[in-house]
Amino acid sequence: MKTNTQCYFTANNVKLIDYKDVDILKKFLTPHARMIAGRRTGVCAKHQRQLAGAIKRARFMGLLPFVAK
Amino acid sequence: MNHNEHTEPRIYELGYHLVPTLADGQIPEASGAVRGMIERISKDIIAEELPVFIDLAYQIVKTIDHKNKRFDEAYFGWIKFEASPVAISELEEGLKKDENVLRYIIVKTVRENTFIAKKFASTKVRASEEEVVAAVEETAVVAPVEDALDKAIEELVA
Repeated sequence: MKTNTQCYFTANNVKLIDYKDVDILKKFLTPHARMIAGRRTGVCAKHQRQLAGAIKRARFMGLLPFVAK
Repeated sequence: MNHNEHTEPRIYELGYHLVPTLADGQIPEASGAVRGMIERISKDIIAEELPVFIDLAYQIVKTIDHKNKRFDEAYFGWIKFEASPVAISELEEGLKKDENVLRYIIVKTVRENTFIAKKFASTKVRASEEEVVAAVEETAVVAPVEDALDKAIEELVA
């Protein structure tokens, strides 16, 4: 059976994306601190939803900016 | 927030910022107060990280004594625990009243460690450990040869 190994989180067997993992979350942001679309990053839909939630939580807690530059 | 839909205990995580105006000596006391609130509602504290001083990504405003105070830095800590959903609203009330807490977030999570950055780091460490072990084995193999050479030289000299 063919599996999607494109998704960073599926490939690393991530159960839940943590909002405190700022270094990982930053990889999925543009220099302006905007989220990059799933079709550009190759993250699967399930993890893209989790990722969006984690980024929003990190922004609320001041760990990531809402806007940059 | 309606916490009455589920009644069985769940795993939660509280992330909190303490105000940076606290002195280093006051941090254990302030984080102990937060931990005390959790201990009142939860029997099982799964994991914890004590507050560490961080730079915030943007200014956070908190009203203290009818004045807006702006903070660029804070002490960030988190606690993972098991509690019933009803108790969470109690905890939230306590945190809102606590003047040392700049901002907090309570999220549903899983019992397992969700920090993948550390996990990847540890796999790298493990790989480097393996390299070190291999290097040690190599030196162990080389050492007897050197001993034999030394003996041979001593015999020749004698």
